[in-house]
Amino acid sequence: MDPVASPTLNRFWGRGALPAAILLVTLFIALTLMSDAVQNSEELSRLFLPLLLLVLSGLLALAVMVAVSALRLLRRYRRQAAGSRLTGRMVLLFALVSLLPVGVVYYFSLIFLLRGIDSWFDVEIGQAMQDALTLNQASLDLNQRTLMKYTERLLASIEDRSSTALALSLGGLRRQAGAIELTVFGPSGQVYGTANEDPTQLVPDYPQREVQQAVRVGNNYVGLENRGNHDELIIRVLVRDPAGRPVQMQAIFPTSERVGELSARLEDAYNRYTELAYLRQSLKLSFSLTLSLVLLFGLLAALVTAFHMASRLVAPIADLARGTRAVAAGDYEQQLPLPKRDDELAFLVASFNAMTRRIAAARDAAHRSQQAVEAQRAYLETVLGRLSSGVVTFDTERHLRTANPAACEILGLALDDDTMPTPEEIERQHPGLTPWAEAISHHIERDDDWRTEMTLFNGETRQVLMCRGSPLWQPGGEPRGHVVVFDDITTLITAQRDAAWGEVARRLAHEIKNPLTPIQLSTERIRHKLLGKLPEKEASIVDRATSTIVQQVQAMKQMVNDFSNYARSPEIQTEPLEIDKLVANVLDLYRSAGHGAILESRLEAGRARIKGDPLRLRQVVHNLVKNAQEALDGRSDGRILVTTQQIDLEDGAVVELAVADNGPGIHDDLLEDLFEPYITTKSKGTGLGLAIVKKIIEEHGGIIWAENTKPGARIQARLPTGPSSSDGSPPT
Amino acid sequence: MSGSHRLLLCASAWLLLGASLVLQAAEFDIEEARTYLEGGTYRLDADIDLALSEQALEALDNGVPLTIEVRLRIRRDGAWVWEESLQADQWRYRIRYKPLSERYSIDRVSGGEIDSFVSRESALRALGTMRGLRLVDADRLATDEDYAVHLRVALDIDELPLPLRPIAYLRPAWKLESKWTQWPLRR
Repeated sequence: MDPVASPTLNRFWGRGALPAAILLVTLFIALTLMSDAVQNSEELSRLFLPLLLLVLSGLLALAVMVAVSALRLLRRYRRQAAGSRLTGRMVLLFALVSLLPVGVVYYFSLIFLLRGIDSWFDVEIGQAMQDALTLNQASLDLNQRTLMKYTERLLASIEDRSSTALALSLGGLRRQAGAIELTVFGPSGQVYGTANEDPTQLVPDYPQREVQQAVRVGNNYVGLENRGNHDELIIRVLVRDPAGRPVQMQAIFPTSERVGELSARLEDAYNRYTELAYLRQSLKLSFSLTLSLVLLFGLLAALVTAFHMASRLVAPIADLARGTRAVAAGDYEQQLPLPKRDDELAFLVASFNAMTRRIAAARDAAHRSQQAVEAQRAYLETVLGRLSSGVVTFDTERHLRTANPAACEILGLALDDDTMPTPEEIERQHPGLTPWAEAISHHIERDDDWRTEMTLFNGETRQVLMCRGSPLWQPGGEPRGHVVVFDDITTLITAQRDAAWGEVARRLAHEIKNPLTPIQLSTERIRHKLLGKLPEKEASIVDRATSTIVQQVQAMKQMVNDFSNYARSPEIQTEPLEIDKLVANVLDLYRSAGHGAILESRLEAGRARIKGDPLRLRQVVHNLVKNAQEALDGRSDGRILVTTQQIDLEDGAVVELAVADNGPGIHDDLLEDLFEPYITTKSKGTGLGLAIVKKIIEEHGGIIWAENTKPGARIQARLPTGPSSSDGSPPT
Repeated sequence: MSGSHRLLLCASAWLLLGASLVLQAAEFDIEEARTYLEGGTYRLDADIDLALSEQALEALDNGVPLTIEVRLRIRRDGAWVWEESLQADQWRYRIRYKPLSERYSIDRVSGGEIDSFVSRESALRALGTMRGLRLVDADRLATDEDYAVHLRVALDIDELPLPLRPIAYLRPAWKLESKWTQWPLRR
């Protein structure tokens, strides 16, 4: 038995599942790393792009797998392959079951994430930060303006612009003002003098060109600056001379350590806050992207798993569907592979296998039974076909179901395979079968066995049938129809009758013929001894009496001889002969005997020859002519017509010999039994003439019958022809 | 829709996308670089146009420090690809906004003095104006060879705050860099 292949299962584990599992694990790791890269890992952040590309490639591969699986499923669905609908439904179910919660989790995660990030940046906190910064700036600004005025006054206090004077005065002024550095620039930005708290610093801290230009046009500058490696906060002031001299003074003041520290912390905090506030969009985007990728991974992984699980679950069911279809199509050799898991499906598959095994066994048994039935049927048909008895069956609707060849032959029926006539229809089509049809119609309704003998008249032939009928029963006792068996016992009856008459004749010959000779001899002795011795009167009596005795004994001897002839066993010596010549020879004898006046002949058989015994056939002609003569006894206008002719029938050519007379004809009562022994209407004769004729004709394979021609009667005999003279055989 | 129409539409979409990328992508440009020998050491003056994209400027104004990386290689003229550079240096400068003083400060990542500027433009201009960068000692150069200075400047995305990096990796507006430019080492 070929097990049904399980392509889905093998295919999946063979070439799909392992790569898919590796891909899923790889993707999961990559997503985890990417999530770390987005969140907090400095090292992994450099791998963000490769990780992203890896994840996207993996997701693309997963999507392709899903698409290929879906397309394959669609193709199988359109092909209406076994299990495709169930697989589709299960994939849909799996997908829904997994995607719905994943989608819901994604939605709420995203909402929480985005709102969470937004909630970090409360408006009030932001405003508070801004206010703190502004407050700090305002506080510092007030101080700065004071310092600016102070610097202006310092510059106004300088009257001597010589370098030495400036150097001396600037040093004092710097110390007085508490500045880190004090510098005076000329109209072109050249340094007139500078004083720094660090005496080694000979080069002043130049202000930016833009600042100098702004001051030059009248906008004094004061501003906080970060300086040095420690981000030291200073206040730079650059003012022009309020007196209009083309000089500028730059003073750099330190801020207090506490103010500087606090300002730096505030600035850091503010900076951090604004940076975070600015980055929240990026943060949201990064988290959303990662979350979306995770969602996509979840979806695709769920779909891939759904296809895989559905295929695995449906594989045995698809096998079952295929197997069932095959069984429905008549293939009972299906054996499905058992699933490895010991579950209900395995039980189902095992049951299916057991079922197909049993069905196959039952089919084999049925096949064997059918073969046996066929053999029995063939045997019965052969037996029925060779049976000489006719067998017909009728169903419960009185339709003829079967008829063996003997039945058709006996009844002369020609039945098609499709025709199922009722007895009445058979009777209508074949009026000669009326007694048979009526007997069947009469008995077929009754539920008991029956037996009857009937005679069929079919034109010139007569058939005696012995019919036996019996109802047919089904095993459950239900009526199934009727069977009729019949035999054509015409020949049998004839043979029995012939045998009986033969026996009678033999006994007659034996019992009667023996005493006849002594009687005749004794009578002749009496006549011889007494005739001359008795007076004339008595002699006359003796003469008449003895003559009568001798005459009657002679007649009896003739009768006994006839019986003897009839009873004689047929030992015919056949030879080919032309019937016309034989008949002409016999008729010539009659004509030479003076009976030619009433005897006419019309011999038209030509050279047709039959195979027969010429002596016995002469007796036939002689008996028939003699029978006709006897029928015409006492008539002056009697005529006898002897004719021969060749007739072509369906089953071969025959020669017909007919002897007709214009006598009184045959009495209707005798017509049927005319050829039976001892049937005669004549005052003399043994009644064996026609019986002998019939016997000889039948010994030659022919038939004979008689009919009234009104006037007169005609006896016709048909003999099968032998080889004709045209075949080149020597004539008789 | 016919196949040709679809093709046309597809091509148009790609063209639009490409154009938008080009428009978005601000480029750094090394306008000029000069070398000179001073005290046995070759030094470099370079003028670089640091055109930051809108996104980068917005980030800067929101307190995100930006790190500009200048890469330099000195290679023999006609050197094979696999030939090692005579000198390879990189300098990293960080520009950031100081909200309290409302100034922009620039400092070298490796350490050094902080310069602050009242405006963003002046700060970027100052950052792009590099003077006296030390290249290589003259005695390291072969006398019979000509050398070239290869210079490239780029925004270092890896120095951006972590949440900004994924976006910076993906968006062309953050891909701020010049091509490798080649300048002769004048003797």
